[in-house]
Amino acid sequence: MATREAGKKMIMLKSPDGMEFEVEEAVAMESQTIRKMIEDDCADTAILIPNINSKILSRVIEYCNKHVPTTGATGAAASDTVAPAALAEDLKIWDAEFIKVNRATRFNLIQAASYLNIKGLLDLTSQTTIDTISDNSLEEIRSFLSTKNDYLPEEEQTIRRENQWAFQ
Amino acid sequence: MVAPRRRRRSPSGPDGRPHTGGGERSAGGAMASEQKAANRVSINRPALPPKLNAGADRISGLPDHLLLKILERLDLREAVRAGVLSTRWRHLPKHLSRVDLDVAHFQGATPLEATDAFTGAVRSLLAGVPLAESGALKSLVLGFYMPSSPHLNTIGRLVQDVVSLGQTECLEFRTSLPPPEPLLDEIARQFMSFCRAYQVAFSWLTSLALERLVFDHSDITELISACGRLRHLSLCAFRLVDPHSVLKIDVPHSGIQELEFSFVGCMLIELISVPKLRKVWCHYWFSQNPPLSFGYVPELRFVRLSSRARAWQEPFALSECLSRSASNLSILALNFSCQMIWILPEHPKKLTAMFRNLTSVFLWDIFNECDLNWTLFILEAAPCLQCIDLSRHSCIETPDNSAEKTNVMWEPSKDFKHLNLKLLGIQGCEDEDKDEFPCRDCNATNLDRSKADKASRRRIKERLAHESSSFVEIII
Repeated sequence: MATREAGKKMIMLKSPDGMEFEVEEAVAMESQTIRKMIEDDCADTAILIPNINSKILSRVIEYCNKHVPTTGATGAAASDTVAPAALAEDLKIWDAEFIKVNRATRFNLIQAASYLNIKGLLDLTSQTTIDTISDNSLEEIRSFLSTKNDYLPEEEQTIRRENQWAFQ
Repeated sequence: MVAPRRRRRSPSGPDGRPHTGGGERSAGGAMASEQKAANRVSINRPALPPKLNAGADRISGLPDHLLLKILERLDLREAVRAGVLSTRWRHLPKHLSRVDLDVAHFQGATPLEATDAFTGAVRSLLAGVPLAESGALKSLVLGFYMPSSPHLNTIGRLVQDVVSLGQTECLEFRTSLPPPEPLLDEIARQFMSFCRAYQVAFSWLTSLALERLVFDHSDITELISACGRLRHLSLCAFRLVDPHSVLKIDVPHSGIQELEFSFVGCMLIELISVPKLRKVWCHYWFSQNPPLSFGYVPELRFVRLSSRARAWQEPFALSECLSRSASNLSILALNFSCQMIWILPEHPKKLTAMFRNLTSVFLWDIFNECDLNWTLFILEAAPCLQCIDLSRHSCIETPDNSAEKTNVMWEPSKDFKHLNLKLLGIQGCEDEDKDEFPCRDCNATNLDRSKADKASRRRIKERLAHESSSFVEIII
């Protein structure tokens, strides 16, 4: 449901475990999925966000809150005093802190960012995994990702042979 | 709209955070007792402390499309290697939406060995690509060496199988010759046979870049006509079998939008009818001027010509080259490589029809001693021009066969006023510029700078400031 608080339009987001989060519409619209719901007028009452528990949803909202473009009266004041480069740098530092979470949370955040279609968050949450896979041996990647090699030795050999070019 | 009363409100802890219970999926029931006292959650909260127990293989639990998003941001080799992590990952490389392979990135003692390795990779990636609603191969870019018939057949068949699924959005071929190979018309013939043999594959081609081939005069028209989805064609260091003949491109039914020619080896490129053409680049031609002739090109928006004038090349009038049908032309960029100015100033009326919608003009690398007044003829011919950017640089080196650099003189109309110009930029006049725009061809510390330079700049600035009634920002 949409209400107004201090002149700002508010949106209610509900997680499947029953939590409700009241957020500014602009913040919620960082999610392209929610933006579409709002634009299509499907957001009269509280928006139920399926499959994303309150813990993850609260982190997602926290991210959106930080990343919502600063516009309007307060935004103008902020950008008057802080250079865009400094803001970007500040965001980078904030992102780096934000993503210091355990793997389970990170993968839940990837799923949430994908469902809610928040590109920045999806990029941020995927990057650690990308860094892990990049420039590491298969054994190292398996150990970082806790992935168990369930191939039979001959199966693995076959796949390696089929994709020999990638192992050279 | 009134809020439903039965909604559950999340309780806040001392840190302003909702209590979510222990598990990832804490049930609403576990919090029932706390609900009444709860207020709406305020969102501006510090981060949760990370839980430090994640041992399980969570990543393999992600759905395919998210794992693919991760793999697609990796180098292709790394993405393929990831298929060996576990059986969960095995099928993923076949679902990558983008494959870009270039033979130049394959090692081999000889070009043939590199081509073998490249073709092997193409086979392992493309053989048995499945028809899939999500995770379809949408973009395929292959850069391979010519000539190699057996390899071409393998590539042709594999690509044909992939495009037959009907899910390809972008298909690009780039061909080159391995370094020591000379230009041979036989190789172009081989490429044309490749195109005829795999018509389905070529009909899906969206971009094609061919390097160092010798074509028959009708090949290019045939090629563009055969590739119904082709949008971009680039021909580099090409020539016609008879270099004194004209390359005619007449493709009235083609949707091709971009043509790029570099190191042109024919008398003239005649674009007879290319109805969807938007952009044309032409770099370095050796023929008589003009290098291009535009026929029916009503969608043309952008033309960029750059060349170093040769001794046998006479300057030409732009009206001889551009077409009246191109009335939407909006950007014109000319680069003179610090040598003779190869266009002739002409009466603005001759260009008015062609320059009616021109908004930006770039005249780059004008030799340093050249007066700049002549550039005003373009301003006079283009009433909508908003930006004109000039750059000057003088190399002391003059390559062999260069045309003599003569000053270009032109007197603008006395009562000329330009109403729309917003930006005039002149770069490369001050000595300190040499750090910003270092020359690749000459020693930048040894520039031959004209003494008349300052005066010339002042004249053009005064003239513009005087003649323009709009607010022009002049950056010199």
